[in-house]
Amino acid sequence: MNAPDRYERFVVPEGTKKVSYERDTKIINAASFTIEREDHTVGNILRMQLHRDENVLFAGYKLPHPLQYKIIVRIHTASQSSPMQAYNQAINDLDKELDTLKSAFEAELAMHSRDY
Amino acid sequence: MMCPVETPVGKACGPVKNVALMVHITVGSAPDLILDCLKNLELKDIEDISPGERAKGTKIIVNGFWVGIHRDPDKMVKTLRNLRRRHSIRNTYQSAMGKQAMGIYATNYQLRMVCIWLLFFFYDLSVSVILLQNAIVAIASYSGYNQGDSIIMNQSSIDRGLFRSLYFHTYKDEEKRMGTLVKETFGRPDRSNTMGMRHVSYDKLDDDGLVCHGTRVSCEDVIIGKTTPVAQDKAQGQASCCTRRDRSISLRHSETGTVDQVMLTTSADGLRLVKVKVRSVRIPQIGDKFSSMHGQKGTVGMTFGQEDMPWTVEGITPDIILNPHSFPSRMTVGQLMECIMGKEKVFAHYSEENEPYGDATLFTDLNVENIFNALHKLGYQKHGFETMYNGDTGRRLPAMIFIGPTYYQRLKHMAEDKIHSRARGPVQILTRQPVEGRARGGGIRFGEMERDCLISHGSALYLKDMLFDRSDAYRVHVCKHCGLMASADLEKNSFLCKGCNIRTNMVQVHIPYAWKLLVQELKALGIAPRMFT
Amino acid sequence: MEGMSYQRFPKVKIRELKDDYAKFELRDTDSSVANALRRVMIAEVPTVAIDLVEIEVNSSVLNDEFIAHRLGLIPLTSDNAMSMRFSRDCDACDGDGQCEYCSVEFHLNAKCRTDQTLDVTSKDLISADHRVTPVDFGDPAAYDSGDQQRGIIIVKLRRGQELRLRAIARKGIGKDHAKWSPAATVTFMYEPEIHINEEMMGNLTLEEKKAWVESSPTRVFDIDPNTGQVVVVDREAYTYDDEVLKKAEAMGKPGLVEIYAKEDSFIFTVESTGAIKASQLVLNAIEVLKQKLDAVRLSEDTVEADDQFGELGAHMRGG
Repeated sequence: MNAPDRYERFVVPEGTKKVSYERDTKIINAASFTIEREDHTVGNILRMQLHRDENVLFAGYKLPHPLQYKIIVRIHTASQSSPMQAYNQAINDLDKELDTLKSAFEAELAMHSRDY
Repeated sequence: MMCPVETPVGKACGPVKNVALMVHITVGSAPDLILDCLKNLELKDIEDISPGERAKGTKIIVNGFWVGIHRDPDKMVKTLRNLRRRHSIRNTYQSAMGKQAMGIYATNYQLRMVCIWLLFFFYDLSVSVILLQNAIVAIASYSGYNQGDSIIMNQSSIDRGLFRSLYFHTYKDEEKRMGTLVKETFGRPDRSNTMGMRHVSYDKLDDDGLVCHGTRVSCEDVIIGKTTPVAQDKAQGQASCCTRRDRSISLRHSETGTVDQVMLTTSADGLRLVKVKVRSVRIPQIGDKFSSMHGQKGTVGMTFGQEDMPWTVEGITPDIILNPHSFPSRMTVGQLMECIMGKEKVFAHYSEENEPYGDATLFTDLNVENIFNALHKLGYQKHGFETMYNGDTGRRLPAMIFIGPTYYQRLKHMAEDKIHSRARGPVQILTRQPVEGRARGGGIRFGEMERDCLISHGSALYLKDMLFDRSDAYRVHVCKHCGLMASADLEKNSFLCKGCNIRTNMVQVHIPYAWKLLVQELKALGIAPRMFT
Repeated sequence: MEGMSYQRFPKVKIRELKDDYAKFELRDTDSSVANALRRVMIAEVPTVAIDLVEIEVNSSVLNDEFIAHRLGLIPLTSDNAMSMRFSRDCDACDGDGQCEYCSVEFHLNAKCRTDQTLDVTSKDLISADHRVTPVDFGDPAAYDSGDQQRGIIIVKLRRGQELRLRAIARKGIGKDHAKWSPAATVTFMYEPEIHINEEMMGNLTLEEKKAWVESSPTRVFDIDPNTGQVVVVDREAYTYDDEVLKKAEAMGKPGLVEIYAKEDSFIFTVESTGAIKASQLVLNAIEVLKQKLDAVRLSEDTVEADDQFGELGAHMRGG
């Protein structure tokens, strides 16, 4: 009755940006990305991928409240890189990883159906 | 039947005469079991005692028969007490709470016209009274949204029908006789000749003045149209065209639903009587109240989808997550036993040779050690714990979680029936302060303790706004000479203090209406509270 | 720094595959990816399910809401769900979500005319699109025995009762409502690594070994009948319950066995509701996850906005 609609969890409202970027005013090479309508699924893989980047000094995400459908990813990098660069890099790497995973699964699947 | 446990908690404490619904009546059953139990507790049988021994023990009487003596009755009673597996006050709480549970208590609910009735979509057993469902309950601290007697519920389970229930509300009205000739009549009121019609929808009424079943109705729609004739001389003040007065019944504010059934009949006095049953589906949501059978009640603090819930290696996600802090101080070991035994019964394969055994009472020879061993044999951690994984990150939770089925009931207190807010609305006639209560669209009380908070916070202006502007703001004119309220005509800009009989030297003050009232009442008592500015 | 990659190359090995069941190993990646896959499979792989019901006649014992809820939970074959449109962003219809691109119409018409109770089942739902039909749970073995499977029971009718309705099925995801979730169960376990301290184990008597082996609720260890040695028979049966570790401690032999969870090796079990094949569910999940990542890429104007800020940023960095 008073609860938010279920679609609010994944439909980005009109006039709202999916990702907004906010540079930290006190620390250089630190920034937070607010991603609307996403949850742990994206937040957690991004964070873990960012941890693999040796230029990233800090990477973390939070879901401020279960009924606030957004996550905040905070990145702090060394001077060789920038938060935005690290962010893009992480997404590209994950994308490529999923491509590998997909072809690996498809190859296995083809082998398995031949076995039948 | 008198229950020795059931009593209201607090000042109305005392035994309650009631029909006990979910008990076996054991009157007339053999006392052998109890005797065996007593013998184990060193009861000396009456046949074995010599006359000399008789004086050394206390007589034990079962069902009115003297069965033997015991040397140390204190110890025996203590042992018997220890056999109980639940703090007795919890039984008392549960017997009070069981009455608030939803469920089918008669199978002809579709035809009954009871005032308010709640029932489930799905039931676990087909017994005479069904009030509970078996939920998979985990006792864990997870996300922090189950603190202080609140519970986390699995939204996916709710989607699939867990605790989904129907809510029936029956509205009733009859054509009352007013005097000998005048009688109320059902019918659609007509705005051209009826006075006192409200600013709500009358469109859903048929020509006979009643809603049709299957109609969707929402807040304050009129569902029973009824008018009374107005005696012409009384209507003199009004426009003379009005011959009838509206006496319709509308749906309660804040209720919605579908008309399930409309019944038209005659009452015992031979008057036409109508009952309208409105149905709505109540899906569990944040704020709804649930309880186990052990006096462990709680409201839903958060719902999480299956993907966010913790999971076992078998892929099981709990329906409910309870806070572990609900257990130590309340000592409801019964619930833990119910859970662990339920888990064992779920997985065990029973046959005629291998019959299920035991319940949570002390009348069987069940002991937890047996359940532990049985669970271990079935391939589960013997204390009912399971390794669980965090649904957010997929990592193993550092502690093992106690999880298993527990019988849960939904209580009738639901957020939808209690939710209330107000921007503006009705005020009391006497004090001009907002009225009280949700049903009347009243205000939300800002009490003394809340006032203290604002004072200590230093928000003086906000406090004044709260207690004055948003409550009963009023202004009066005060004679500077005598300090009493004067009459004022602001349009003509003329003032008069009747006591001093002067027309000048007035001051306008803003005061709460309730205080103006107090001043006037004091004046009536012969006390003159004077305001000097 | 450009061009440097921290990508991983995960490996997959399928162990078991049925239409509605898959078991596979996932290696060389971490728990975040495994869990993201699990979460997407449960909550974000789209399927088709009944979302709108118009009831014309219902004289059954169940009320309209009840029947509508039951209809929603019936799994429908959703092989084309990935290419279907969500009705909320379908431009072919004026937002009413009833066009051929984003919806499928169903009809149900049942009346009981005999004294025998009539079961209205998912097989009575007539679809307007042959690609979207109620999932057939008919067990081929049951046909042979003449015991005909009748699908999922919606309601039972007695003589004279009737149910007539029109239903619209739409594409959706499990986050919106669990009826759209294609997954019955998705779970993974961390592959355990078990090291028995052979020297300590050798010093145990047979009774002690037996007691220790039996302390595990699942059959992870056993005693070789020939050599009397304790061997690991099924590593993956271990549920991280720590029972054997506690037992070893209680026997005064801590360190008898050491068990670790591998951080990069997972065994997945996927069960589907039948809406899509289990193997397809995994592939769709990867695809959906890729789309999600694509959606969270920084847009051009964000980059530009930062470039304008860049001068100051460079200043700050320089200072």
